[in-house]
Amino acid sequence: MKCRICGNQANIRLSAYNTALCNTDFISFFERRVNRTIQKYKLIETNDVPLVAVSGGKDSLSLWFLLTLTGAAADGIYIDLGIDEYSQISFEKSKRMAERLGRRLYRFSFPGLFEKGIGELARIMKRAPCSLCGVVKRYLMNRACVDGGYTVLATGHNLDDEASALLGNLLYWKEEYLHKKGIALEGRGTYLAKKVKPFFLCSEREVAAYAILRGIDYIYDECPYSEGAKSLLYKSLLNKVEEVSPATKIRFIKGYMERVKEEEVRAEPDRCTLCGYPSYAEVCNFCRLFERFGIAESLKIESYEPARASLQEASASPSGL
Amino acid sequence: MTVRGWRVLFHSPLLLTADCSLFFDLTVLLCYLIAMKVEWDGTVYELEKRLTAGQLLSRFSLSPEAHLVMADERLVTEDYRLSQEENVRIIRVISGG
Repeated sequence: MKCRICGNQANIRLSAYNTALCNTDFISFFERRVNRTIQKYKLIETNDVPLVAVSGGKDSLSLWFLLTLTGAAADGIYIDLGIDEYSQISFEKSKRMAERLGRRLYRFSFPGLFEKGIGELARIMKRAPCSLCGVVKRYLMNRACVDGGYTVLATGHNLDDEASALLGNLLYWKEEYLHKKGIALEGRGTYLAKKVKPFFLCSEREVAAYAILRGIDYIYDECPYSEGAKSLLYKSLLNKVEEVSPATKIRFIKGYMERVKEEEVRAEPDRCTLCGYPSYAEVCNFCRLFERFGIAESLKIESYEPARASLQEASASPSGL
Repeated sequence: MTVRGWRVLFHSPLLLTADCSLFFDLTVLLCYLIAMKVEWDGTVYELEKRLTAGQLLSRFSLSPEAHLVMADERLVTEDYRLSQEENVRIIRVISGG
């Protein structure tokens, strides 16, 4: 297979676009595509100061790398969920990226505040770990963004994440979630940050290839709590369809974007009476967690600031591109 | 024992004659070529036949939409014929949660 642009040996086939590209042309294609998405949907504007939600995985680290490369002064936030070795490795990978980019990395530690990891907390709270993880991550990332003076929170959600979540919501007709899966969720006043997903139209395979080609050192292992997750089943089903009928995932998501634009019905979240941050109940889930464990101290988010790296150094790829 | 992709085995069957009086020691040297070594999911597999990256994924029943194949740390397309000298690695790209 030859690269469609330069004619050299191709390194990746992109069946959704009926094309194949070499390493160099794939990197240009991917970066151009993400930048176009950012501009077209006004995800991050010139005066914006983005904060990237970082997990140590390929999506978030690639996003942080790409945003920094294109000139956005993006810092990162990492939530340490206290999942033994998995959390230690993923934090190390995030820290290494902060050093490579010369950007600040915030860290909130669950064991540091609750003296317990997410697994034990979930057991005490009688909730599934993934459900509690979602609640606390959304709260902490929003709060770090608002309190830190950042104007937009960027997450590494990719096409496969969005298509599988949409499929799950449709299969069970969870209409209350259907309008919340857009490419951008606008902020509200000074308590809810704008959230954007620049990889919304990029498949997980494309993001992984980009991470490899850019020499991004990410955690390969899965979160131990994701075993048996329905999202993995939906992703696998969608990939089977994609194999037979290329571009199905992107058509599915683009169709959703057109429809959700028309309806645009969003329930306004209220504010938690204790902390003042968004909540659909009187007291938000995070404050309930604080009450349950009798924690009175304020939220502590550590900050790790490495020496500034030059952009040229950051973009140098170990794969020799 | 493996030498430059060749697996070498010593095989020594003992044959017993009908009257149990004689033994024949037939030491046989068996050599066969290991076509490829593939690393997948923390395990190294040896395959006897050279395959393309696409055939390799089929052999492991893996979706090309959810996996990438690397030969000597280089991404390769599904039609690329892998060789025994290359370090071949399959990478899962899907994460859940």
